[in-house]
Amino acid sequence: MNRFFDLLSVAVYMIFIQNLVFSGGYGASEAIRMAAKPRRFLLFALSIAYFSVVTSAACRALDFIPGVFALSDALHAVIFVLMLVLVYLITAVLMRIVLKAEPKFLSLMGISALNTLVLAIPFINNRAAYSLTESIGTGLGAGLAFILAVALMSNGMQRLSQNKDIPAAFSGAPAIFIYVALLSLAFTGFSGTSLFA
Amino acid sequence: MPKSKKEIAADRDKQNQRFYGGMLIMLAAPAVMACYFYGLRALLLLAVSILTAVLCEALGGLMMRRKKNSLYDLNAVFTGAVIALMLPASAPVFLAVIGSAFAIIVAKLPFGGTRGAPFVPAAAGFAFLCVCWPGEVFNYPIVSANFGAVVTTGAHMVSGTSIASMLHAGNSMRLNIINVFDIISGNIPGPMGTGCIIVLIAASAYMLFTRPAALLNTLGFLLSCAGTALLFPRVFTGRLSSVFLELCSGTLVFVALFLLPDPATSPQKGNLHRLYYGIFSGLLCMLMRYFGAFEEGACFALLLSNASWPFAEKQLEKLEELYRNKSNKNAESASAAEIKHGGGADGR
Amino acid sequence: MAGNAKSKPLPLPQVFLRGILIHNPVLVQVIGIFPVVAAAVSLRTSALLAGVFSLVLIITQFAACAFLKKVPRWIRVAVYLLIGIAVVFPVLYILEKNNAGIRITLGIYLPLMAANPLAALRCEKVAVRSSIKHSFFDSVAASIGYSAVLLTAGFTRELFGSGMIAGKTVSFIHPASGMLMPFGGFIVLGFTAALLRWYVLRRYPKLAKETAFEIVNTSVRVRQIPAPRFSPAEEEPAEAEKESPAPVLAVSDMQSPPDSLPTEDNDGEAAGDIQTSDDVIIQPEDDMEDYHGESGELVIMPEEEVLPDEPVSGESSAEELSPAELPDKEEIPVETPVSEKVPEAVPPDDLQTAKQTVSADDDSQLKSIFPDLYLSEELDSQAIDRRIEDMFNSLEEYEHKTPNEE
Repeated sequence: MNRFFDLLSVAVYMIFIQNLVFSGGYGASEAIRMAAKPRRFLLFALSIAYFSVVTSAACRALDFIPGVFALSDALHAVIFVLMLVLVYLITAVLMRIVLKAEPKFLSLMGISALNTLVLAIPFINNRAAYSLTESIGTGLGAGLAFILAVALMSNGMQRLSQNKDIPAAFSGAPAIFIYVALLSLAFTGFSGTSLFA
Repeated sequence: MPKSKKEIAADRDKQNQRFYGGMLIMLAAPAVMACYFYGLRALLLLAVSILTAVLCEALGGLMMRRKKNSLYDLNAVFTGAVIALMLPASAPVFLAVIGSAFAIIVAKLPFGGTRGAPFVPAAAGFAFLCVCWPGEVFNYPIVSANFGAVVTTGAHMVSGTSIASMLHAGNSMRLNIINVFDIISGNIPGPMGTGCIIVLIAASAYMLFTRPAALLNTLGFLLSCAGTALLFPRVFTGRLSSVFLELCSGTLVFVALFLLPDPATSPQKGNLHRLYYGIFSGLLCMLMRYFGAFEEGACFALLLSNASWPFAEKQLEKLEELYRNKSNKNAESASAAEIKHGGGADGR
Repeated sequence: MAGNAKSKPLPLPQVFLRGILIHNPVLVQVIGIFPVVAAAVSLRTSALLAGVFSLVLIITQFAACAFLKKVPRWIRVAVYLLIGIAVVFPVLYILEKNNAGIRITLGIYLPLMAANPLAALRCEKVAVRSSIKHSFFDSVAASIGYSAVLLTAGFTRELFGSGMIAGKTVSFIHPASGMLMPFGGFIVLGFTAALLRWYVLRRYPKLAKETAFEIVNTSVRVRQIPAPRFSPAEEEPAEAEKESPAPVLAVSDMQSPPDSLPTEDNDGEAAGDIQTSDDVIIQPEDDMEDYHGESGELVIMPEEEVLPDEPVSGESSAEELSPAELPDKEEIPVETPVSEKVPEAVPPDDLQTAKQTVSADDDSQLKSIFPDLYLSEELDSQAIDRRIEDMFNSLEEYEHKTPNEE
């Protein structure tokens, strides 16, 4: 039970206190694009959550091997990337061959798997020396943080797209950036002035 | 008859002007109290802040080549004054300048002006100051009731601790010592214009007579803050004193009264929605206070609630619709039954 | 007009213009924001990041163009990541060996450069379709564009955030430590993007459409208020008077997504609407497919999510925007932005006829029936609903009261 609460507390930390997308910037480009054009959003978010949980747990499990643990940071980076690629390939093969997924779905999965948000999780775990359950919590938190970020942004974007007063130079991407900036400022109230990771 | 777009825009500007003009009149009360406690320094900060805001707005209007001067709706003046009043009197002048400049240039101009801004500019400016210079923004000088007897800068300044910081630190022993009257009249270290609760309540009477619907936001906010303080007190000296202290500390009442009813962000769809919006923002504010990194949560919470209110409103409307459908079905079935019986008895 | 699968390469200046200004990866296409926002806090770090990024991009595109054209798509994306880490690892190793201080500040950001979304996008769009020379120049252009943004962001944030320029302190600025945080990065991005857009609008106004980042939100709801005609056929809209959500595409500009292929018939400022011709109705392509799209051709078919769930009844008298827009007085005249843009989409037929019946007369008809509603300070949608409800209820009662001669 203790472990479950550990997991939960880390997840909540990742979602609210130091929201990965707003206070850390990870996966910001995917989040903004998703918010502007919400297509298959839930599937995308679930895919991100899945990949981040699996990769995070796998990388952390690898660290149990003392030989791996003693490696330098650079080699750790290589290992994380290789692990992510491995997870992605295995999942892709499963989807394609066993479940006969269509190419569109595969491409969606590709983007969700191979982006900075998912890749950042093992690094964060490494930095903060989280245990295995906490690593799972981090992965879960990544997916949920993404969902929260997109939900918050999409409402704002709706409002922006209906706002006719925006000067021409600012319409489109610049207004979105500034909107996200102010949202990020709001989340800084939780995280404080300490920089993330 | 349908109005042309120009007339509608002019109407809207006039509405804005009336709103912010009324707000400015109300702001005179805390401003006077600030000058009473902190002397000329308060005046200086106010003047600098308002001037910066007005300048930025004018420059922005020039650069975007607006046909009509957007200063008329008094929003820039209002924003500058609010930012100044939320700062401590010992704040260096550049804080006021940067805060107002940020509020106008980043939070207002890129979105087209008063009605288009998705966040309240003053809240954004103050939040920026909180994040960048937390030391200066939360450093309150000790206050005394003599006019302008406070030393606010230089080597002789003595800094006191505000109630909000004591609450944040969970320091409830020292809170017993403070005189209740001192707290209400603002004779404690705190932000310049927000300490004097009595004056703020008196100022709200003006809003009660001119725009009572807007006060619903404030009411909801204060209700939910009081409720949270009642249920989850941060001090150990009793729940009522917790409510009292939470409500009187920091910028809570000030933000609820002046920044929350901003017409661009507060809901326009009915009084019940305004109440809900106030309650929602109040909950967020208390969350910020309890779990946030700073002792002042109100401005951040306002930004968050501005962003997330449309989403919450949609869910609320769905609930309302469900409720109305249910009650409609009941009414329909009741009337259908009535008619059946009535028809049978009447028409054989 | 559908692009070809293989496009003739553009003249070099055009490639560079597009890569740097018009289709700037960060400021226009919103890709690869993470390093700019999180990591570019000083000039030196941004220089290093820019170098690594460009290296990864150019090498990946080269490799994709040269070797990977035959590999199936879903394996290709994994290969990009592998190439990325293969490029980044030597850099990491060298930095670690020299124990350079900069590695500490970069920390997590440098390895994450291996996951380069821009590389994946560019490779899928350009590299696998064109010659090595073309893809090389395209990647160089994109790198220049990206590096420019990185360096600008790094310079600005260092100046305002730490009061330093490349490590040397500047005295007259009060450093705002908030600029070093991600939201500072977003602000800098926003203003830089605005600057770029202003410049493009002035200098290349005809290409300006390509710089727009459109917000396509299919959750905009359209509320139906049925016509107050007292015929039994209108009983059904009485039920539908409540919000019958009909998701309508609110597209600000009908244009192809910004990251589509440049086509051949374009020389300088001549061709303004390259992919947007008014005779062919084009839906904005699914962006996810742009990453790893099946074809480079513009898809000329409506997305299924755009069609409304319930066909709009043809007797709609007035259309009002989603509730968030109602109280603004300027929405009362019927040229609502939604109805302006909707005909450009590909709606089903009943939707189209429904939109055509919306006109100023219907609005004035409503106004003549409920005059006081339009004079009120705020247009309460619930009041309108209740009025109509009452009207129908009273009608019902009246109808049911008449059969007395039985």
